[in-house]
Amino acid sequence: MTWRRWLTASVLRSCAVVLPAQRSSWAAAMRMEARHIDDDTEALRWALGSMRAGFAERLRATRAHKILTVRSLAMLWTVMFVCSSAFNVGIALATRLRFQGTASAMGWLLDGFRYDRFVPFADAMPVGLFVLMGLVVVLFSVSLTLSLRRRPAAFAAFCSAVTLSLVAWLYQLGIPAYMQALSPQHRWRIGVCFVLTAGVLSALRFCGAAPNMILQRTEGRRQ
Amino acid sequence: MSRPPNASRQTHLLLAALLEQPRAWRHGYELAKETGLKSGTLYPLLMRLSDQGLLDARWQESDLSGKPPRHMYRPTAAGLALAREQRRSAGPDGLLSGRLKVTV
Repeated sequence: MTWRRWLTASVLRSCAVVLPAQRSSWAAAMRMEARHIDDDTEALRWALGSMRAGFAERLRATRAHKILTVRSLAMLWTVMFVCSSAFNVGIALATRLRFQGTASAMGWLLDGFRYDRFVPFADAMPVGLFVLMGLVVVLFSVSLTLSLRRRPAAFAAFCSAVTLSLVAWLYQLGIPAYMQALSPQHRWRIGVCFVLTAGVLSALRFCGAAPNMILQRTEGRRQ
Repeated sequence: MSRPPNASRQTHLLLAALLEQPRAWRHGYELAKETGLKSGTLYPLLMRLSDQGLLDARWQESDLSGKPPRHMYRPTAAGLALAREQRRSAGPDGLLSGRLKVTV
């Protein structure tokens, strides 16, 4: 089996998962049809198109009010944290390892980033801080995975990740080179982000509406 | 204001292709080649037409050895009526701007 044929089969298997259950015969139809296409590239195109059809059907089956739930917004929020924390550790690591091209390319996304100013900061960061930042990425990813599986522990994982992230940031603030590495606006933005996150999490806890409880209520309604 | 159902150019193309051989069972790849529609556009249309009772679908064993059965499609009476109606509305030149030129 060629890699294109293997990829075709994998994509079509995923398509069957994406399509709503009542469309399973259509997923089978797309899969069988691909096996009748002799050209591997053509079959792969067919599979990718089928995947698009699968997503379109899934979106159509999921009404808008179901998409905009607290859970989906919380997941979107977590995705942003995963990306942001991975970006932070990535750019610091790239600078520390002197991957100037990578660090500068990532720096395009940062307001007023200058590689030469960032080097002393990255060099001053202890290895433990890199480990901590890596742990934050892992915890946010775990929270996202648990959230996708509708596990209540997602909320606890998210809170732990935010707390560790805050610890890492406060530690960075104590490094003198940090002040030169990033603009004051950037530092303010990070601070505001933490305050907002803490505020929302506290409000959810105070109101007894942590995401896990919301999930449980939703599950209860379904039953 | 929402568009009336089955009014898209792609649906017109598909119905026109089905009208070419109204009694024949056709498979998805053949319809895709004939209309120029990608599978990502074709299958949602087939599903929609089937849901609306405009298209019959069935599984058919393949004549080729080692090949799996195929999902085949044929317009229902209502589907044919709609296709003919659309062909009339398109005028004597049919879908000239599309891939298919449907002649009256």
